[in-house]
Amino acid sequence: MTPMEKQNYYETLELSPKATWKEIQMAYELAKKTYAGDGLASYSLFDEGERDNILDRIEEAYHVLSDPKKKSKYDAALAASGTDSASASEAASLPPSVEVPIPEQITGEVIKALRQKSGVSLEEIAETTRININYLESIEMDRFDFLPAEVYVYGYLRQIARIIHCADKVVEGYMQVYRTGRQLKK
Amino acid sequence: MLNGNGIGRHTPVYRDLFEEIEISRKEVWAVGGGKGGTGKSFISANLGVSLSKMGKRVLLVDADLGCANLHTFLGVDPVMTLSDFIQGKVSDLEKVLTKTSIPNLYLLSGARDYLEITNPKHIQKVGLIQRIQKLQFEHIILDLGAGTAFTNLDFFLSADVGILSVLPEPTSIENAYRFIKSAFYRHFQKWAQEPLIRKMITNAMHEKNERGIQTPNDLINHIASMEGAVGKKLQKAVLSFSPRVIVNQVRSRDDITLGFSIRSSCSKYFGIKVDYVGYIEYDDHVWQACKKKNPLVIESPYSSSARCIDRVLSNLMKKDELKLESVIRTLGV
Ligand SMILES: Nc1ncnc2c1ncn2[C@@H]1O[C@H](COP(=O)(O)OP(=O)(O)OP(=O)(O)O)[C@@H](O)[C@H]1O
Ligand SMILES: [Mg+2]
Repeated sequence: MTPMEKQNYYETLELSPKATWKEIQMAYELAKKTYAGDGLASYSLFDEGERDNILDRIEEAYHVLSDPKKKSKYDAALAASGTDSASASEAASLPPSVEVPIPEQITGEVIKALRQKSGVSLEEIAETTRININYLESIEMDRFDFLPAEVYVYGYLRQIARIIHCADKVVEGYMQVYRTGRQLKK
Repeated sequence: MLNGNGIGRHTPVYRDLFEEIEISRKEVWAVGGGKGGTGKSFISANLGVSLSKMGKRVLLVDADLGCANLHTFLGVDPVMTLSDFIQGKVSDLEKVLTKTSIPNLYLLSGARDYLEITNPKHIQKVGLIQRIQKLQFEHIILDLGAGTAFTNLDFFLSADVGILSVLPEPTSIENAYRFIKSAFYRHFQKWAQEPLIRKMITNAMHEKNERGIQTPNDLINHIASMEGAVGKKLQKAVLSFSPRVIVNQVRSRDDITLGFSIRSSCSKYFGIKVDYVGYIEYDDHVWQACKKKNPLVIESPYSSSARCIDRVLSNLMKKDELKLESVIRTLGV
């Protein structure tokens, strides 16, 4: 789990990047209630200063995500750089020994190899991310026509990358392979 | 009532049940929660009964060794208990099983009068956990005692799914967090063999320290940043620790959404994913059923609390959780 100060706005509100406007509202209301002064679930874990700090982050995240213009700018920045600070910091903590030489073409096989290298099973990923295991399998087998639209696959890849600790360029690389694969099918 | 012999693998009547059905996948659930009286036994009993009504072969284990009372929720009177086994009076654990009035549902009763074995020696305990897990059932549910004794933590951690029953009141939540914290560190210690890391974990447990490690989540991130391979291993340990929470005896909407707040607080503080599998309404049918020594889901299957049990069970089986959106939609909070 990323340290709080390095989380992106979605992580702060515990939302998926695909969250709808309604979901953002609900998450915000819940978060405010959770970390308010009399929050039954939080007072014994966080002191007042910590809760204020969390509330500030929540407000900041909501300020951006609730405003369609600001949100789309933020989303674009998040996607373009591919390095929200969260994954950047995790990539930086990668020990050199775990690095597998990364080939030019990031096919599903490469993702699979990286995953196996990090000792995480598909089931474990499915369990933590709630991504349907059939999709996870399809990613590793390059079954592009079984996969949903690009935005979703991108989201999945980012979640997988976070768990198996691979660099953003792997995600980008796979997305290129995915796009080409889909185009060919058409 | 019936004695445990009826269920033994060697008893002809049940032979086919035991020898011809290959039990493919077994799931062990443990119901704990720190505080006393949060409904652990009530929930264990009713989840067990509901599962067996679905045709599953279920074993309920009263792992509350000092203060067993699961049998009362089921209306059975065990002839033999775990203490007979722990004290070596019986060597075959299957002989200690008690058949219940519900087909497919068996009880391994706790030690009623033997307070001295509340904390069995580690060796005994490991043996016991392994023997229980080898019994031929599709579902095994462990009803734990209150508190954070190592016996409770070890039973909790041995299960495939750890379930915490919490009441919507400060003391219960504080105790539940204490339980999560103790279980989490015990789980963690088992993964981390390196003396240095173990020491760091021990230090981190002792409140806030000068390294800026304030929460278990900080600790994991700290370990990850200093020692790559070890950090990754521990992060895996974190991923594999994912308790489920039930909020029991809810009386208001705020009580219901409390489960989501607990989920969020645990994520931010422990860095772990807690699944909120559902709530159970406060309901007079519960104690009425208890007074009749009949499980709620049989005595009053259409009561609001029994329906809540159904929903919780469904989420547990599907490895799913309650969605904030659906709660808000149905309750219009
Ligand atoms: N949803 C509910 N509505 C009303 N009463 C309830 C509900 N849940 C539990 N109770 C009552 O609360 C009491 C305590 O329940 P239970 O014995 O299951 O708790 P426990 O956690 O197992 O306690 P212990 O820690 O002593 O083992 C029982 O009398 C039970 O009938
Ligand atoms: Mg009990």
